[in-house]
Amino acid sequence: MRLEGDNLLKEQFRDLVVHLTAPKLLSDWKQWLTNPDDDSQTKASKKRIAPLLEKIDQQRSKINTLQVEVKQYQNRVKRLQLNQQLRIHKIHTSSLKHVYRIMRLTTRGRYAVTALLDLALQPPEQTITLAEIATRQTISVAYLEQLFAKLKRHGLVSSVRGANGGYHLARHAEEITVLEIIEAVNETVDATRCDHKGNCQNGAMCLTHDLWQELSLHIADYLAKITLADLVARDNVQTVAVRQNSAPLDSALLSVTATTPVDPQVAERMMECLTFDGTFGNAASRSHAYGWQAEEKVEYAREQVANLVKADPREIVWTSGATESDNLALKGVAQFYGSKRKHIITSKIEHKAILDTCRELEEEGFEITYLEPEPKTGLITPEMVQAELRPDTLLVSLMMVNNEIGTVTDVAAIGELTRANKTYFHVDAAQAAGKVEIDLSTMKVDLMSFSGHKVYGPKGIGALFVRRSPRVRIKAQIHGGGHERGMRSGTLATHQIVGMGEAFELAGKSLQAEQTRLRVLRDKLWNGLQDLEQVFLNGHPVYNVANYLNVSFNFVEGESLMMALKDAAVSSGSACTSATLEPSYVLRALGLSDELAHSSIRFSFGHYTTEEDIDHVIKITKAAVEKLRELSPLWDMYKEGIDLNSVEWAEH
Amino acid sequence: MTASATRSRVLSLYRQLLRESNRFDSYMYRNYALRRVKDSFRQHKGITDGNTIETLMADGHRNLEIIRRQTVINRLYKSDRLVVEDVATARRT
Repeated sequence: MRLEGDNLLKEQFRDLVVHLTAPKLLSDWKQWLTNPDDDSQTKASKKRIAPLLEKIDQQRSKINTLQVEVKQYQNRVKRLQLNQQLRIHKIHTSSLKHVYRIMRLTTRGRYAVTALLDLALQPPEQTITLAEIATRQTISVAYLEQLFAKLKRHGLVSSVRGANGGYHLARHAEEITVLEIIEAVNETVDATRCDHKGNCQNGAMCLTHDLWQELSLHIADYLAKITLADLVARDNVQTVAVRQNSAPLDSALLSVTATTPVDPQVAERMMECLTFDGTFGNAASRSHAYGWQAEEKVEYAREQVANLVKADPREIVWTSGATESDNLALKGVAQFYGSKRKHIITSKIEHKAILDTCRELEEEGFEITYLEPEPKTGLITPEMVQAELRPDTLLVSLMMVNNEIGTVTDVAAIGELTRANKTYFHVDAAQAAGKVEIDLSTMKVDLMSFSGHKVYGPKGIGALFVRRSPRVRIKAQIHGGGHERGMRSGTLATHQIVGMGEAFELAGKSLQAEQTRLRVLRDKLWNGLQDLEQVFLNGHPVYNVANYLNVSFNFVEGESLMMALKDAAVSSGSACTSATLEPSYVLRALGLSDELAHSSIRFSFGHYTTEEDIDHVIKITKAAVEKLRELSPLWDMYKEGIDLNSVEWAEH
Repeated sequence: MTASATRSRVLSLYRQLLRESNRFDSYMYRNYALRRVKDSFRQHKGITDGNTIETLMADGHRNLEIIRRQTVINRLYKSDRLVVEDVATARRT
């Protein structure tokens, strides 16, 4: 249109030019052009120009109208094009009725979009299982299965079978629009109003019908434009991503006293004893080769255990763990020799296995003396034992390395005392084997309990050392067949025994090197924690093993500190008491006040502790303690210099 | 065997052990294996007696087989990553 108008103007101008070639006209025209309001022009010239001006005006008005028309035409074209596009989209959304519905965000649609968005947030080459999506987005797996069947049919996800199976997006995140997802799960793009669904009753459309129609058109259009890639790029989706990253990661294992993971070498040896092509036989079967092979392995493991502690292999009895060994030792000796002598000495910081057994024996008529350890250090000195030794003392039972505070008892010296008094001496060495040098050829110990799973062996196996010269007799607690020289009956678990033997041998080989290495780590941790105030070491500063560090943080609540330190799997108290809310009885026996006992943390180190673990633990412990202390009113009072013992707490 | 042949055998065993140990998927076992290999080779650095060297080499080969098997099993049964792993890798990069 514009082109036409231009041509018209050009034509007219051409006419004008033709007219204006007359020189007089030209000079007149030029003059008019330059100063149109000049009245110096002669009337004649004005007369000559007037019709030209008229014509120009006419043309100008024509051009204006034409231009207006052109604009209108262009608008119409635009609208038509838009409608065309929308019509294409309408066809894309598979049927017109979808657009005339009104938007309703149903659970199914929402979950489908959430699940696919979760997939889109993963690295593209990874296949995700439904279980992972279920835990991350808290949708049930069954529901996800239904959704994903539909999504797969529509070609939005593809599945991979096999061990590393799962789902991943079939197309790029940029190619999948939200509208597609919603429709793939058979949802309609509905808005919330207008139940008439486009077919108004009474034959007449309601007043707002057009509004809802427009709205659903716009919504469908909008959803068709949003792809998964857009959603991923938006800020509010980052919260989902962050939640994923803070999904439970395994904690750096800093609680290896409760138990240790099995060493790969040990696991290897154990695997050989399980299936048909290994030595699966019963070690007690004397009549066939399977039994002989198993017996060979059991005897070899017995030697391995005996070599670590410099004992005779015939003195080792296999049990199901240190707890059973303790029970067997205490009850066995008490029942065999207990008719005349009825006094037993133990200490307050023993393992529950000893303490509960002693309580049982008390009910049977024995008299138990519980030694008080040295306050703060937990040391049991030979003098303490000497003070309690009586002519009728039957048994002294002490632990070599305390599992909570790591203090080492001077077993050799106490052994001398008990041998002089003709008392039997039982030592619980569950935590000591593999950490401290044990020499049973020189130590005068009569009974010693060992545990498999504290030295990177399997759980459920232990041993009891029963001295042959001078002979110690114990009454069997488990009868049935007379295995283990009549001391403990029951089929020997070959794989467990082999595991424990191998673990003991490996521990013996690396004992010194490991202890030096752990000593360095322990000192590093202790020095790192010294930056905080009011930090107390529970245990002896010198007579300890490098594996444990038990620290009390004053003015900090223990359970909340443990929660804050959940990145490092530490424990307050020990595994056997952690089920109760009471503070550890060991720490209470050391004389710690209730608050200090509650706020203690035991760090333990082992083969798998690295320097990074220590640095990490120092960092998070300092942060956690400082944060908790900021919250604590008692800390504020302490900072102001108020002596908390002198405060009269008001009663409510 | 000449000393240089032994030396090259020892070095090749060392390299193989380190390479296999790095294939552990679990942070704990990987660090433990690497540390033990390095420490034990360093500890036996100065030994010159041929018989001892042979025994130690046999030991090393046995451990190499063990590590090979265990890395396979470890990769089959994967566990979640440790918190410290992110810290360690962040520090390395």
